[in-house]
Amino acid sequence: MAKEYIKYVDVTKCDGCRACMVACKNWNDLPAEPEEFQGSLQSHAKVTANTWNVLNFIEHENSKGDLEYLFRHSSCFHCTDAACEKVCPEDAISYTDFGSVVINNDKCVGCGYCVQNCPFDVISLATYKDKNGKEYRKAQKCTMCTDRLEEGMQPACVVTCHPGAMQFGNKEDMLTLAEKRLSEIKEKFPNANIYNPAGVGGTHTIYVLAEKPSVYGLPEKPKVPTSAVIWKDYAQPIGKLMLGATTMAVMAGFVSNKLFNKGGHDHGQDEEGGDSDE
Amino acid sequence: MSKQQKPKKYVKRFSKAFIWAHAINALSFFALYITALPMYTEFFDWLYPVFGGPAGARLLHRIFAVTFVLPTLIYIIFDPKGFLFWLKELVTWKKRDVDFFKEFPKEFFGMKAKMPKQGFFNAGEKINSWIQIFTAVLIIFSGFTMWFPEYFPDTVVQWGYLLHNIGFGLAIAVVVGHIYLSVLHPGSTPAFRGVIKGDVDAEFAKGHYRDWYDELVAKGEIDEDGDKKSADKTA
Amino acid sequence: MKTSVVSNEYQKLQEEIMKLQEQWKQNLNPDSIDFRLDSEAMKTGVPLVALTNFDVKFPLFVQWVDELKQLLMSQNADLESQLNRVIELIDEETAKVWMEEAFSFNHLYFKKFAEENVLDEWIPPFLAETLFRPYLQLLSEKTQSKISQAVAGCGCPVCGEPVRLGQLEGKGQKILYCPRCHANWPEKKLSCSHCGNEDYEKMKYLTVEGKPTEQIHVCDECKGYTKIIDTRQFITKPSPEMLDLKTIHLDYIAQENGYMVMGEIKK
Repeated sequence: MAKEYIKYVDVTKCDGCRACMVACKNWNDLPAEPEEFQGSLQSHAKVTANTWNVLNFIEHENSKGDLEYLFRHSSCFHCTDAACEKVCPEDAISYTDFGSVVINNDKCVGCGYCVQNCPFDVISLATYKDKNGKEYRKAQKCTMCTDRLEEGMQPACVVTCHPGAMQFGNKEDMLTLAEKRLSEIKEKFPNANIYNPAGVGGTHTIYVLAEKPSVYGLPEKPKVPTSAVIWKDYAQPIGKLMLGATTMAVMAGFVSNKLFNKGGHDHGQDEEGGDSDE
Repeated sequence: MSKQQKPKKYVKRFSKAFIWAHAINALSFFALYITALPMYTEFFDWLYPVFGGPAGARLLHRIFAVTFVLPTLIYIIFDPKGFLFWLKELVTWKKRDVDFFKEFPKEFFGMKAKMPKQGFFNAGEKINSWIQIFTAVLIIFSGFTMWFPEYFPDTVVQWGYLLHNIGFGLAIAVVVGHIYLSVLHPGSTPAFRGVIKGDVDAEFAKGHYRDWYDELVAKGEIDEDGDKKSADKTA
Repeated sequence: MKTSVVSNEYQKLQEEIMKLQEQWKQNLNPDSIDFRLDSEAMKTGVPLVALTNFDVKFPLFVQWVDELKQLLMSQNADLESQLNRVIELIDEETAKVWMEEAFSFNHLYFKKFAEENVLDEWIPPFLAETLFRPYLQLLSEKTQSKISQAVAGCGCPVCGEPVRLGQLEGKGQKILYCPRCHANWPEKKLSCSHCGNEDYEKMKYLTVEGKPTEQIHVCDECKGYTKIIDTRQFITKPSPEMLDLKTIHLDYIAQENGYMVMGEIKK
């Protein structure tokens, strides 16, 4: 019923005001995380469990040898094939009809499998204290403001973006916008590209980047880790099958021993009726 | 057993170090299994509160991870001879070992089987040892990457999850068979006594490990009837 | 908005009716309305509708009644006999009168009509209003570019409907929208639509916790209120009617807090 949406980020329009970071903290009620000076205007090294989007500031020397100051709003990509969803052992991570990928905090046990498998490194564990002072962990990341989407509202970061560097809407419309924008800036930024990586089935946060993804600290060809695919699609099901098979064999063995061998096990006669493992 | 009325005679089979190592290994394995079970299948999510929540389960899993590594060390330190003997046995494969597997299925399901004479470890035990060594290595090393992801590259950690899963999957499948054969399979009680008390019924040894039994006789440690010749009464 | 105090069925019905009205409007001959944009008159608060002649074509009228009947019956089949009686009763003359009385909100006329013809009281005014709106909407569509202000207390400059709804647009500008004819016009943010009060100490915003897009602008001078919705945050913008309908809880809140739809207009 609900439509599939995309958050479209045009980094060439971003002026680095960081209002998106504030709007995110505000809407999602996330605590401030004071940081030491990072050596640039950038406030946090990367997104964290309590800072779901960070504005990246990149000093880049372009092909003409000029310095360019590049900005990128970074947050969860909401992959179509999300590695985090795949590896979560508790089914705590799921896709919404909007296309966003969300964590169910009640189900999350804080194991951190998602943290280790995210190709974009955008999930982290937050540590909380329960009323007895006992610590527990929960994975946290940008939700694409799914609670707002449910109310028909756009994500908080998009709404607050004053230069219009972010737009939110139907998947097809946003892809068209991105294509159009790319053709507009291709002359000025010959390396410009649309970042909507196919290795994760496309994402629901897409970018028009002025330079190659790696310039922005993004993987050129991100994908769901092969190990995660083998693990979840083959190893675990086969493992469960094997456990089931041996259990069945053992039960069959137990029953058939009762049937064929009512008098008990007569070993050690002239030849061996040898038993095996112990 | 019940047919034989004469008093039982026992022959020594395992050292104290082996018994301890085996017991710690078994308990650790079981504890690791139980503390990871709710993560493996949601069906067992109710175990979380038992361990004091996911954080408690993680802590216990790490404690037992350490005890899981100990048995090898115990075996090496306190019974180096036995350890080497075990390894030597594992790499020694003869016709009797291969023939073992032809008869094993019949034996397993309780039908009449003509088992070839076996050495100290029968071929099934050797295979069990091999798989447990292999999976333990997998589990322990991949466990390290999972426990301390900050010291390993992401890819190593990611493959660690897979290997941990494979190692565990193989191990548990084999362990089910191993425990069954030792505890439930008819005629297993004498063998079980071996890993608890260290000695086994001589008749049982004669029946199941004829080559070993004959060796003991040849070495003069026991006579044909299983009577101990030496004064060594302790296991 | 997913959550609304209005039931989904009712919202769906409203949308269906609007769809019909849009079709009707599209099929209207643009010449069927004849208006005189008298800016002097409008400056004194006379709505454009009072300066307009509507050429209501009877066959079209009958066709619309029938289409509306089909739609209503798909929701409630029990209405058939009453709606058929309406169709029998209406002749060219009645149609004209209905349109005029709808234009002037003459509920007394419709009440009497219902009583005389043993109809449910809501049916005649509902039909008349529903059928009149395409004309109003055509009028506002044709004149929207000329509508840039309204006189406080005089309602919509096109159709005279009392002001109750506005949206925030652009950088936060308050644009008032008429849910009846779809006309829109800007207004100072700190200004009462009902009495023109600009005393900021007497203007307040009521907000609902957890509803970041909704404000009720209330005026303690005249006790009037206007619902102001920040639709810039919406993924898709609803029509003024739907927005008005879905925010009906704000009307309750305002009225429970002692404010009134039109305020106490002070002369």
